[in-house]
Amino acid sequence: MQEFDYLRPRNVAELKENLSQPGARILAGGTDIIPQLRRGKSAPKILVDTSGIRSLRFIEDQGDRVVIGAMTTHQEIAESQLVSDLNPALRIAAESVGSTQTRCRGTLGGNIANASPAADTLPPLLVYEASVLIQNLSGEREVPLESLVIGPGQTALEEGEFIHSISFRPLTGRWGSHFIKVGKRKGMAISVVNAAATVVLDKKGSVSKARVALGAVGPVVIRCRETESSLCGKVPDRKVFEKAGEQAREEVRPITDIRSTEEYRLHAAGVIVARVLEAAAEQARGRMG
Amino acid sequence: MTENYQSIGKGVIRKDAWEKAVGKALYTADLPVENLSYGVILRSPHHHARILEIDTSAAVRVPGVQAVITAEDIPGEKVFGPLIQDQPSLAWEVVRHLGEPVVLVIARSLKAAEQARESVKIRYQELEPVFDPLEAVQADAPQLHPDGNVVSEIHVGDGDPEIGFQEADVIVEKTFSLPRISPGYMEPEASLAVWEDDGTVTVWVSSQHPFTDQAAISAALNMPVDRVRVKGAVIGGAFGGKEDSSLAILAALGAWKIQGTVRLVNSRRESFLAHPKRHPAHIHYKLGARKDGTITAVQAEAYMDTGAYASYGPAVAMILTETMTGSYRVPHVRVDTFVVYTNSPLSGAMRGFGSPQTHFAVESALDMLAEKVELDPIQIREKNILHPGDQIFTKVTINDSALALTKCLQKGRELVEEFRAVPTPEGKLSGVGIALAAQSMGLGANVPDDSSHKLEWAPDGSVLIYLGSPDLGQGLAAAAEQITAESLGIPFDQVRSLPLDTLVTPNGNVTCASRMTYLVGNALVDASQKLIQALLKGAGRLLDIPADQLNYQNGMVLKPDGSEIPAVEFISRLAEDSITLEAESTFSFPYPEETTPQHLPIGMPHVLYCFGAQVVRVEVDPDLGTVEVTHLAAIHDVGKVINRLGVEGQIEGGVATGLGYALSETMLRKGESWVDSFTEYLLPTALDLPENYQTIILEVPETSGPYGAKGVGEIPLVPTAPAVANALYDAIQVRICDLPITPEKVLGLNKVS
Repeated sequence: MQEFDYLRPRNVAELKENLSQPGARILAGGTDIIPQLRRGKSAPKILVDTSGIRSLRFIEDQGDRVVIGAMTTHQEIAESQLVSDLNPALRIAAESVGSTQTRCRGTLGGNIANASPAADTLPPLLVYEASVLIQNLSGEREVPLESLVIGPGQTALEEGEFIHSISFRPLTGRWGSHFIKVGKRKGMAISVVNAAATVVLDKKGSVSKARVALGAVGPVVIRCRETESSLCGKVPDRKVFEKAGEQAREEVRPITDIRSTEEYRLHAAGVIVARVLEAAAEQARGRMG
Repeated sequence: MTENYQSIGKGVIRKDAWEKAVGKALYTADLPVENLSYGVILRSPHHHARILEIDTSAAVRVPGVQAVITAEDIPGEKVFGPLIQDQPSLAWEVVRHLGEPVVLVIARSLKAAEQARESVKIRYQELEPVFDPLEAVQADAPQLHPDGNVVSEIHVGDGDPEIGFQEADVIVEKTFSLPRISPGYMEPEASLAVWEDDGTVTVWVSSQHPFTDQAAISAALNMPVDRVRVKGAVIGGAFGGKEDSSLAILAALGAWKIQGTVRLVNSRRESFLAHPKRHPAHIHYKLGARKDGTITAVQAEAYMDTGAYASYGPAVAMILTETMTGSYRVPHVRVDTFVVYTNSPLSGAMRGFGSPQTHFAVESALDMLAEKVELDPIQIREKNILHPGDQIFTKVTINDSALALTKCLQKGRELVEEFRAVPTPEGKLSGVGIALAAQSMGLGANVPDDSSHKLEWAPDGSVLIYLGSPDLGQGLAAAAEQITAESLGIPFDQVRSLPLDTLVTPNGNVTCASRMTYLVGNALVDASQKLIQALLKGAGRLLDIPADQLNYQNGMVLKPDGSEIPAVEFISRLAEDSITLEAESTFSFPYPEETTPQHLPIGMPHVLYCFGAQVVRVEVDPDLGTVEVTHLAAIHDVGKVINRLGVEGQIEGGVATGLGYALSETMLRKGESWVDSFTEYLLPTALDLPENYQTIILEVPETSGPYGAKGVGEIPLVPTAPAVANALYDAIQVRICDLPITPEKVLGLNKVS
């Protein structure tokens, strides 16, 4: 392991100062960066440990938006009634991350900044069209999550910037959301492919809005926009969703790697898109308009 | 049979359980020492390359560096190996696998050692590697060693397979492929060596065979064996992977070079790349039977990938060969086994030792045969299982332990029916499968297969066991203590095993081969009798009564007049006269000449077998190809339970290992490297184990064993994978012949495009 300076800011103001130094990197939960450091795959000059900043650790209903602080852990999200009520897909995803230990250390901000194509919390946030509040010493900006993650392990975060919080607008009317993951084992599984969907039904029971996102089938987590639009106005049944699954396969570009093959990922993506939509629609049907 | 045992058969808590649970146990990496120097190993970045030049000039100048050691610096033997001395402690001229040790750096700090390691410059000329044993045996394959790539071969048979296959109405023929499996123990390999002022070296090892390490260190340092003292620390799992002296030799070499104290601890990556694995193998298996299901012939050809060095490969090949007919009567047999060098990480001993590979082929083929002759999996097995007195193709006669097979199938039938009655959730398909297993005990004929241990009765009344073979975490010490306590008629708490130390402990030989309870137990039963005789002799002298007029029972010496005196009174009196009450005993694994076939290679045959069966229910998602084991029952004959908790732990742990073999574990090549972390090497987690699990213990006494006991160390993982594969076939009629069973293979989407 390379040597580095270690800083532990107590508040956001100190964090901004610390991060403005060249070569500084954030240590949030450490579940990704510590293994990287051990393997020599990351060599920051300064490691800024944000675990002491309580103000970045919250889940709040701010009326029109749900806001989650970047340092909120997966475990906290999995146990949050608010998240369970307003974004069930995110709760399921957070619950499926790693092990109890990694869920209690790993953070939502860290999961986003690490930008893994297989990150489990990204699809549920993408289908809620979440945005990310980014800050640095000189100010702040808010960007859609979709434009923040630009490649495997790559984000549009500039030097000195950090993720303050993530927010999304809750769905209204007859809505449902769900998340499904295919891993290679039950515990501590990294997704071979994962999917989240939201479905909103109109009064007649047809799809008025659908959102679908797939992970581990491309360089970044992908929104399947053609699949989404193809569902508009349809009366949801298994056939429709199976067709949506086939459509989704057209929109992704999986690769073969150590965890799975291109062929399998493509096949499984279609299967779970159909299933995740069906589960979301089922939820929506059960919800009073 | 009514038994009135005080210790045997009880579930005792091991004496080291608490300190392990609270993190106080001291493993080799934790041992506190003064003036410690740190060793790090520069390892080959290539699978196969010629070493053109090693330049250590910059490394030796790094502040804090004490030694930069290459093969040239080794004063004695530069190669080691338990069977064939082919493995360099530090490579010279050529490296044969990724991660092979080339340079050892010793420094005052870990940082300096790592910095110096980076400063060593090695020029390599890359050579073509070969990874598959079937390719490595071709004439034009890169040659790894002067005598070619075939390390050893075994050709055995009985009867005439040609006749056997002529008599057959149906034939099953298939090639099975088995993956490279890591033992995956919690504690990576570690060694600590202290150069003593008197010119001896003390080496702590995390090892299954400290006495083998002692000999290997002695050879490498060119020092008499009695100047090398090897001590065992607490071991965090071994499973066969710690039958390798690499780190023991290198730590001792470092300590010798700097005349100081050196610790080496492998990282997980180093452990993956450079310590022995389970042999990958291709087994071409052909089975013939009459249309009533009676097996007439087996012909098998196996190619095992032993990696760059032999390690225990030739010995693993023997059990792989001998179990090729599983638990069945087969009149005509032919087996040809080849152990092949490749540029893969080395394979060696691992729990099961060849038997898991073979059983996947045998037990899968049995189910394929059952389908062809329209019998159910229990019927086909009932028709063909071994019975007491049957002779297998190695000319070994199976003893009464084969009674367990009938019991396994009776119990198995009940469980199959029970599991079939479980409702299948919507969208899933379910199936039930069974597999039997046979696992030998012991090292094999004409190999020194004995074990010595010593008892001492301390003046405070406690009995100390100088246990000559290390407890790897499986609970050998507790079993030894129970057997001693029972034999002496004293409480379990009064008996204590001491850590292994070659200076004071007799040579109990390597802890392996499902044989420790049997060997250690028999030796301690005998040592207990000797200890009682020594006690009575001492008591007789003190009482002035002839020893043969005294008796002993449950810690008391009985005088001819019927009065009793606690043994401890004599022991403390004798201690005052500087007389220590002790007794040593050696038990040799029985290979009676009249019943042990002598026509086979040394190490064959193995003559005593353990049997078991496992029944598995799976639920398959037919769209995703995922397989979940929902129910599993493990039925195992152990002869006689010594520590009930220990036996259950061994079986449960073995099943978990077997499920990993079945469904997730494989050390694949990954780009230019190998899977080398637990992120990608997928051990089953607690969540992956079946929700409905039961252990069923059978006790068919082994008359030559202590209190009727035999081994259970290896067999619990042997039937698991074929039982899962058979259950999968039952569910969706897909036959997987290469492990692990992945969703990609289940759906036929595993081809790499």
